[in-house]
Amino acid sequence: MNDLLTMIINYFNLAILAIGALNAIFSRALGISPGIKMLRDPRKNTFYFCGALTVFQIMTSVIVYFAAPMVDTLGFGAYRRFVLPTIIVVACAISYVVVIVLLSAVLSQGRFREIVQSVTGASINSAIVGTVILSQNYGLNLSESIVFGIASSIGYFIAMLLISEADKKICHDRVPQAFKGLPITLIYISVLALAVYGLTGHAIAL
Amino acid sequence: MKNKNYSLIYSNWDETVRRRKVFLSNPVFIKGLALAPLVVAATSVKNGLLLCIAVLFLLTPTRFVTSLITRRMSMPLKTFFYPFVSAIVFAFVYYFMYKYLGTQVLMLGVYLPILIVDPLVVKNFEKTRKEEALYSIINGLRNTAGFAVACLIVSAVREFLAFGTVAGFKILGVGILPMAQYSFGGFLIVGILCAVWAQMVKNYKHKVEVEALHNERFADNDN
Repeated sequence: MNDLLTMIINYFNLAILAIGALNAIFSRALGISPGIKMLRDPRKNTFYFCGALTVFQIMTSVIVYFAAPMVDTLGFGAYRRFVLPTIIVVACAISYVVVIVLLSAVLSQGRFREIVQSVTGASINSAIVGTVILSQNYGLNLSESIVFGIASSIGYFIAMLLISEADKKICHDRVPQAFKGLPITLIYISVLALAVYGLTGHAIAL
Repeated sequence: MKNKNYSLIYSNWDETVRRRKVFLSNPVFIKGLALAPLVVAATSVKNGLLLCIAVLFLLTPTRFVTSLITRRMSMPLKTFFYPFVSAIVFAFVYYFMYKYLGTQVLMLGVYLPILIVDPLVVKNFEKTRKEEALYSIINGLRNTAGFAVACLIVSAVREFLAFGTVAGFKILGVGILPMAQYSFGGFLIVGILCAVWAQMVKNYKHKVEVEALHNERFADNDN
């Protein structure tokens, strides 16, 4: 009973850490460029994008968890950190194929076309690659990697919602011309990131 | 001579913007690419230089290889082939950087490996236009120069504000804005620099317009 409670508390701490102090956008700036690009692309939807990102994050974490130790088995353990990004890209590609095949089988053609742009955009970006590398670096086990991945995606989703809401409201006439667009969005993110830092009191180590 | 240049620039403004990636279409300050490494990792000129070296050896070779292979590929295939090529190139770049520059390369954490999927490197897969091999090299070098200028400016400003030094040389001896070393400070400084850069581009465009119109009037009067 105690073990179960300890495990639940550990998962809860890991999730809170990934959503707050290690937030993908506010603390680590992972996926910030594709995120801002997605907000300004009318073909992409924030909900589909972040939902797909969560699915890809989980699948990639699981594949990499089993694939990465194979490098050691093959006798290239010393080169693991150099080939890990390649393994992650292959894992993302496998996840993408699986998701697209499942979606095309389940959804109508119109619905599929509607979400495929968002799914493709979310399939590979620095939020996924960065989080999976961090999971590997922290030495997390399979369940911890999955919890960390899900929580990171939730943190990313919350951050993107906050940014997209602000993006609709801050582009008004009071903003100086030079600050319109990217600069004011970055300054707004910095204020939110400062608030997150104030709340958690934790700055990330590279 | 100078005025004629302005007329030429004005008449080919879009082409000029496309070519002048260091100033007019800077990949970081204007297009918002590769923000993650700059916002978090570029806290000193040393870190900035390491990022520049990685991009120098990663971006152009990736573009060149993919321009030779991806011409007839469908979009979803390109989506993964581009990062796959950049990941393989990166494995060699990372290995040699680690071998020759030592453990300081590891100080950048995940911000070197994530370059393989950064829109600065993989952005081209969404383009339907074919990229010639020679053009991919030229364009890759232009983008690298644009990134390097932005990266060194951001890292120098952040180091100066956070620690009072630039490239390790003592300027003030005390950091006047210690928050510049954190990610929230990075967002703020990059945001302000983007605004300054956008204003400089706007001023330059205005100057080109004025000079070109002035030139046209002179030409009309001469006729």
